[in-house]
Amino acid sequence: MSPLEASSGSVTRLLLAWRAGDETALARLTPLVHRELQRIARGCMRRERARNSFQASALVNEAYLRLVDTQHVNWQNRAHFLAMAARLMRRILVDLARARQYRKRGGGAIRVSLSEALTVPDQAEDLVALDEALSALATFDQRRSRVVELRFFGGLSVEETAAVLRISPETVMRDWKLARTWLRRELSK
Amino acid sequence: MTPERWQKVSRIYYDALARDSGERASFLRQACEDDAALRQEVESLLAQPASKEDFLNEPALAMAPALLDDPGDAPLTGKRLGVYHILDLLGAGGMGEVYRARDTRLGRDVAIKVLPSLFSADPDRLARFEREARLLASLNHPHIAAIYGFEATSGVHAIVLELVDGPTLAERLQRGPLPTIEAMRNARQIAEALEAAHERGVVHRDLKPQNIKLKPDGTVKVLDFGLAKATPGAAKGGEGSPASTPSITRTREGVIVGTDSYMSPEQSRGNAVDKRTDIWAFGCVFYEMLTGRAAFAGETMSDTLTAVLKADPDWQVLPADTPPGVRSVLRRCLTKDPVDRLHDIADARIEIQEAIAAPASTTPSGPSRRAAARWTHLVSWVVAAGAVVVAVLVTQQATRRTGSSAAAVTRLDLDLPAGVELVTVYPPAMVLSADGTRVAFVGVFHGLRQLYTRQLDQFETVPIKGTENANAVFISPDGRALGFVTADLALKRVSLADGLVTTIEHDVEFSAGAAWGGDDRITFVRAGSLWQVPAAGGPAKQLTTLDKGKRELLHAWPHAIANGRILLFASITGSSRGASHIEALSLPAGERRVVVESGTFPVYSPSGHLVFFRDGALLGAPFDIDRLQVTAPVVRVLESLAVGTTMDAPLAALSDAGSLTYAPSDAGTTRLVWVSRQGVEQPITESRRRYQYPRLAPDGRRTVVAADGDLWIQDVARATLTRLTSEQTVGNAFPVWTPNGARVLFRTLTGMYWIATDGSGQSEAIAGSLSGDLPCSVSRDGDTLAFMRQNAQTSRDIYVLSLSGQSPPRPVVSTSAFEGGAQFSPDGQWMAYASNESGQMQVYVRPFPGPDRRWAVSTQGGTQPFWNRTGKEIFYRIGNKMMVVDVSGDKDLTLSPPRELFDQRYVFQNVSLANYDVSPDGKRFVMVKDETGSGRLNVVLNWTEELKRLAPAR
Repeated sequence: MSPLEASSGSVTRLLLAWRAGDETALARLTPLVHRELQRIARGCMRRERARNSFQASALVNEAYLRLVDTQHVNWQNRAHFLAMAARLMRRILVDLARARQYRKRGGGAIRVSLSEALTVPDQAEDLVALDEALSALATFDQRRSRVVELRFFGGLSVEETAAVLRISPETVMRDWKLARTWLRRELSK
Repeated sequence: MTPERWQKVSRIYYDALARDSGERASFLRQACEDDAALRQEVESLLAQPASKEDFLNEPALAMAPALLDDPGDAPLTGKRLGVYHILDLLGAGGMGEVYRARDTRLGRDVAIKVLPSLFSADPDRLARFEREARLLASLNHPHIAAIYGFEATSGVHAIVLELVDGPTLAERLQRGPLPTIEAMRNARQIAEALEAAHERGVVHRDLKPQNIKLKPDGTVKVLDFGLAKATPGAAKGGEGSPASTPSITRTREGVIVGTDSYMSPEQSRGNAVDKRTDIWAFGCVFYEMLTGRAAFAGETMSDTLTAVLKADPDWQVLPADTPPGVRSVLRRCLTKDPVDRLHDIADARIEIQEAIAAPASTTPSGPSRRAAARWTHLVSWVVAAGAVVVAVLVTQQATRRTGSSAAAVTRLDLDLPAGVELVTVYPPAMVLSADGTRVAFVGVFHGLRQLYTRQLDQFETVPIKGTENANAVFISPDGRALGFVTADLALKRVSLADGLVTTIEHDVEFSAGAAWGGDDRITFVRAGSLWQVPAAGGPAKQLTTLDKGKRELLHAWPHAIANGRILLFASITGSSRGASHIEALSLPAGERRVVVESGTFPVYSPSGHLVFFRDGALLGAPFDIDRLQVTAPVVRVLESLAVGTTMDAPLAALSDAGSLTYAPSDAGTTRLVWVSRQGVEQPITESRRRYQYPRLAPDGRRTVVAADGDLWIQDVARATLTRLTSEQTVGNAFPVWTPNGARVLFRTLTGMYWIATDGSGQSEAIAGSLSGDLPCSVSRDGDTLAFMRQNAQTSRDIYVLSLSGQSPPRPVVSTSAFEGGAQFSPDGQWMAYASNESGQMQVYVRPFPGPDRRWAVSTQGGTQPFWNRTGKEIFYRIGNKMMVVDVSGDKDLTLSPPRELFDQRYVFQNVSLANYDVSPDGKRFVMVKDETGSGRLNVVLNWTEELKRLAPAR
């Protein structure tokens, strides 16, 4: 199988290997997912041009369908699995943002709000800052940091997040609200 | 912050939130007591604007497009890749991005698939990929999108494919099912494509509506043939996974359909696949065309896979007018067990063909009919088998011949095909394969220069497609590929098995040869130095540097021996004519050693001899390859062979097995003749030489002409030639008179020069000129020189410079197409030139210096323009025809339709620069006439036996 074709099976295998502690799996996984993301993103952008609209949720759904073969993972594994996928997404996206920021350094990058995500040309700076803030949050509040990781980086719903963390959806909502507020304040400092 | 303190913060925060905003202040005072920092912390959180609820609401993945939109990685749009101008992104396929691009040389649009650097960096994968794609390139079929070639330059690896217009079948299916007859017609074409591929052992593996294009004229083309397998890394390591390109589309109903829908049961189990997998996919596609719905689909991938493995398609939804034969074909294609499935796509094709031929309801596919079809099949098989027998016989004879005459020197003449000229400008102009069974040479036919090849066990000499404007031909050690350098400085190779042309490098000198070593590296010349690049493409590495202290001008004619560990080459210095050493370069150390003090064009003979060129003859001597020394006196081993007209090197080649091919000394020799407008000839010169580019002096009394690397002046009244150029310059050609006749400008190896015509011999380099510039024309005031310059980005362009040094060189006509042959009009107001921007060479005229307008002079193609000195006519050539167009008007040109003057064969040579001149009265032409008939090559099999005798070892 070609890594390009990042067929869900191999991503699943590598994710499981990574979870089992095989760090080399991550090295193999990253370019795979990177390429696949690129492909999906391009496709989305093309369709966006064609329809003059952009649906992030479509992209996320497609990414999950392509990357994570949840059908072939049993239920006990599924929660871990989504968690690992979210962690992976975070690493990849932040790395991308960092690389982009590095290239832009000196070019006077302007910090912009994450809420304006898709309408602004470059949110790299913010994503890196968010990642740092999220890591800071994790030092004193592991759970809320994970809620953000799962929801924002993993694209999971409240219910899925609740299932992964084995907490109630209500708690997820509360955590999400506070974590977002705290992060927003950190980023606006 | 500590977890404990944070817990406190969060508890107070939630509690405060639960209260009305009016109560919050008092609540906080109470809750925080006298901890001001705590209160401040909670307050700052509560102060965050509630309106910004969209913060983090879009998943981070939504940013992926923007983050991945990396200017350094993705978009090649607007850039150039070799001769291809990338226009726009068509899609991101399984192998990377696909772009629409313009082939500026051939003037057609192509699709370019750029391999991600992730894969092109791995030589194994690349080699594997290329091997597969080569096989695919051999699938020359009207219903298979063609592979044109490879680009492997500047770190980018790309395949050049036929660009097929029209929607994909997937796009068409969005609108619902196809009419039955249309579905059958499409199915027949798809079946034909599969049939052709299966006959060559190629399995598509990923046939699906997305891979099928419907051209507006009804033609169907199957894309990405076998690329699923050829994709780098695919099927590598036998991971047992189906080699398909997963893709997800949404049908009208919103059901997710992946490639899984077209995956055969054995494929989805991860088992090995063969052509029966294509037959399954063909059945799925045919079914979907007829019904508008996938044969196997489910809500999820798992459901789809389950359907593929277990369910039967819904046969009830087939349209009522589906012929019974087609129904049975579908059932047999979609049989789960490959053993029971239809085995041969030809059977499906035949059945569909019959169904199309007859009205649906009245076509019972009777056994007799099918039997007849099978019989036809059998007959064609028997015929094919006969051809195999013949081929085997030929091979055996060839073996016997070479076997029995191993030591016998055998001389053969090979006549060039009628009308084909041997290009004599830049040796090496020919090669002989190592086993001596194939000759290839650079030929020109009707102005089109390309490679020709002849297998010595066959009669026919055939041109090799995709080798236009080739020079410096060389051959791979295994004899399966030829290398060459094009006039626009691209180093390419062409596979003799399937004709696939790959570009390896750009900016390569074409007049100084190249070599393909046993280590699969190609040595070439760039800016006078030797460079090396892997034959498969990759980073190029400089091997030598010119020693300016020794006045080195050029390292030329590399010849690889000892598996590429040693390179022989000629080092040409500017001290005097013919000052050239033969040196050996040891790799990887890079140590240089002079082997022979004077000579060019070194080759090593398997008999243990060094053979090289000096004073018009081949010389040879026994050579110790370890000590890199000649071990016995040098002797002349071959006289009377042809010499390149511009470079001091022979038109000869020695194969690794010791056979020699060369052009006889009279090859390409010509005379200058006057030809009237009606085509009546009258000789000018008696002597035969390889004359080129005759130019009459402004007064019409003298002619300057290039021959054998020098310029010569002839008094028109007397038939004697006087050499004009001196020992100072090398590779002299392409003369242009100044309007007062006092000087001639010309090309040399190092750039453009001028020389006084009064016999003083005084010459000088033209300031601002580079090596490779070709002078074309000087304006009436004598100050502006139009010349051709090679540009890596825009191929050959027309430049001008001021001869008095008032302005540096600047481009006047510079597009991605080839432009050349510029000629100022006699009044200096206009410039005629040739360009291939329309896809073929055409003559244009434009105002000089501007504005930027142009008129097409030729209509059916044309090149080599020249003005009548009256300014009222432009002449040009197309094939053997001399054409004329009347020019009138002042600011707005009026051009007459072209008229033919004569249609006679004269030497063409250059692509755009006139290889002729017109008398001042415009009544007759100086033409270059080939006196040697069709031309021929001499081949000496086992020439080394003779060499051993002539130059014995001590």
